[in-house]
Amino acid sequence: MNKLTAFIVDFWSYALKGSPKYYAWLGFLSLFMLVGVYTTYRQLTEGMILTGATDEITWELYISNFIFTAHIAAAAILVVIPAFMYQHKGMKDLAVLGEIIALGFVSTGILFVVYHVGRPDRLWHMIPGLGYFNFPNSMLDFDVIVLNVYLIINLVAAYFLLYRRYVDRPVHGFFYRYLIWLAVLWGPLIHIITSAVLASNARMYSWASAVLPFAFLSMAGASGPAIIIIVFLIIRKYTKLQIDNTVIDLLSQIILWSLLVLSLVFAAEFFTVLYPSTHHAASLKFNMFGHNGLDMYVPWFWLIMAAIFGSFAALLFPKIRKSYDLYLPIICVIVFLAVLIEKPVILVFPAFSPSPLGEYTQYYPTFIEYANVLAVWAFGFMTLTVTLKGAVGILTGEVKYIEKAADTVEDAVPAK
Amino acid sequence: MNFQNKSSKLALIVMWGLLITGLGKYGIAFSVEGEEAKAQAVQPVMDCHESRVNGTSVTRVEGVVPQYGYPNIKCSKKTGIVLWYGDPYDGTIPMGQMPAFNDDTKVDFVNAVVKPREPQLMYFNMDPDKHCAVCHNGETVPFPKNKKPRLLAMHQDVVEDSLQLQHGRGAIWCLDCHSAKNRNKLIDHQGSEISFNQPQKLCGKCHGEVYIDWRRGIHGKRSGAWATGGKKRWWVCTECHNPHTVQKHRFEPITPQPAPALPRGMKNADHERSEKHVP
Repeated sequence: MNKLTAFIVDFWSYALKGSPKYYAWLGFLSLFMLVGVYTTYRQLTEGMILTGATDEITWELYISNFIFTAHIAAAAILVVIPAFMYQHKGMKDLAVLGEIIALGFVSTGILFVVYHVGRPDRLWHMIPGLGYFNFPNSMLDFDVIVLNVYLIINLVAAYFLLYRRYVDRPVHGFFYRYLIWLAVLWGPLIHIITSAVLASNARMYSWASAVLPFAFLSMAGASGPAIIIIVFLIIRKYTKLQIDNTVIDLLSQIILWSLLVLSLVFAAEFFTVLYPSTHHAASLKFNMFGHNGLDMYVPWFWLIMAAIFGSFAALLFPKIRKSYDLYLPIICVIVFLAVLIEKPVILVFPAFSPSPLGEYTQYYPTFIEYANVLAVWAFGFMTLTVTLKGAVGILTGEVKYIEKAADTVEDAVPAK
Repeated sequence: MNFQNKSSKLALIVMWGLLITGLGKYGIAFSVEGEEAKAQAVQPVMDCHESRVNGTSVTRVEGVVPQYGYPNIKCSKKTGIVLWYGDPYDGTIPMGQMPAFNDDTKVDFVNAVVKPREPQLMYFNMDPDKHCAVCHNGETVPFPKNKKPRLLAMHQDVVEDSLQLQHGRGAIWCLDCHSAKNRNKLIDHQGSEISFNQPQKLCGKCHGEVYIDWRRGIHGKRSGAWATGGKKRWWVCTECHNPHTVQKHRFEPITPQPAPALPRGMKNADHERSEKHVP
């Protein structure tokens, strides 16, 4: 058996073995995926009519969730930056976990886009030459490029590092360092391009804003480290991998200051829109106060604003930041959910009202849509869990290449 | 969680059972909805009209467009008005000779088609060959001596009170448009006959501005090729306006179509009906 096959076999056999709790978690996720198989089949055969999308609101939960996964995927570089730019000792080993989190969420995001496409079998129309890749006119082209390149960078970087660690060879060489630099540069790019996809729609009052990329980046800075802290706390609790308190502290600091920037961005946007109160304020006013009694998004708006400002205020207290077992995870879950729910109920759905004809509408997701969204999330968390499990095995040294007695003469001859 | 435990095993079985039953129920609920929609679709509206009630009646005929199996028309269930054409030129004839003006109102009528008006006229079709002349032959009903308004004994369904013709405010009367000698035709100012299929020539003799607008495509309805000289169906004056009652109604009001369905999930549109207008 050569080293690469040994790596694959050892990595996955470690990743798929675990305690009953581990299997229960995977079983829980597979339940959603199983329902998702049926609902995906329905959507693929009967079409997007099964989603709640209407003429007025054409972006469903899929694309809302995609934007969120882009946040998390981009934020994973925040684990990498301290390790490689500031030589943070505790972070150095954990950088690969950041890569894996980016990998998991960027693939989840691409899957959401596939659901949003409706006819994924026609994606080949985008292949240059065979079809028509409307480059550089369409912003979606740039999004396709940045997302797929980010996926490949992280795929290569993560597995390259894991393999090198597995065979016990030095990791931080020329290739890896520049790949990491590329990933660090590319992370914010997936965000800026995604915000450009939205901001380029001049008709969408609340998207055509110059602060949108900053809102996205600061939301990434808040929600990304939130899920990373949760993942790290779980890893620390259930595996032998040591994660230093300083790492958690650094991440909670990042959340804190990202929330501050986010609050400033929101405040600047609200002031700029609401003070002149032109037609362009209509979407935001609908979101904040409703329109003649049509107010589905109003409580969500204030709840999420309260969650963002409240989490910022709470994290200012060192006691809460240091409460690794209770308050910090709670705040992290709140930040994560607030930014997740912000996507459909503040960013996407209210932005479609008023429509070009002046209609105000609300969005009602269907069962199929919810089931598909949950299935994609379940898939994302499952790949994330399994890959992280394997990675932890390699980082702790539980999974290691052991020179076995050569079965044949050929195997015994070292590679040239 | 320990799967060796009997109760957790039971819980798992119950969970799976609920899941499978739920999916089954969901599938059944959807298939019933589909059947109802199909049952509704098999009873189309057969007797329809265009533009106005009694203006142009059309009967739905299945399979007029054989390559697709389309009917000639599809009509509104509520108002009976034609909403969709399988073949927009079904039942049309060439518009016929039209005067050519060599100014900016010049229009190419070579490929223009119209729905003939004659089959739509009740009295015209009382006799298949002689048409109106079956009575108005000079003997059964003598030809009138002049165009002066007088009380008519017949046709009250077309003109209720012949002394109060609801067109022209007393300035014109029946025989300014209908030929006195040949009731199968209309007449122009010089006394030349005009076919019932070309009412635009008759109306144009007084309503010059609207006639020019109609020729240039500003007034009235037409469908077909957009390009100049392309095949196009033109709606003629009397398809929309009733010449015998225009003083009462310029345009006979038709029942409007029901409002379009609300976006999915929306229960009502009350928020659109507020007194306050919010931009």
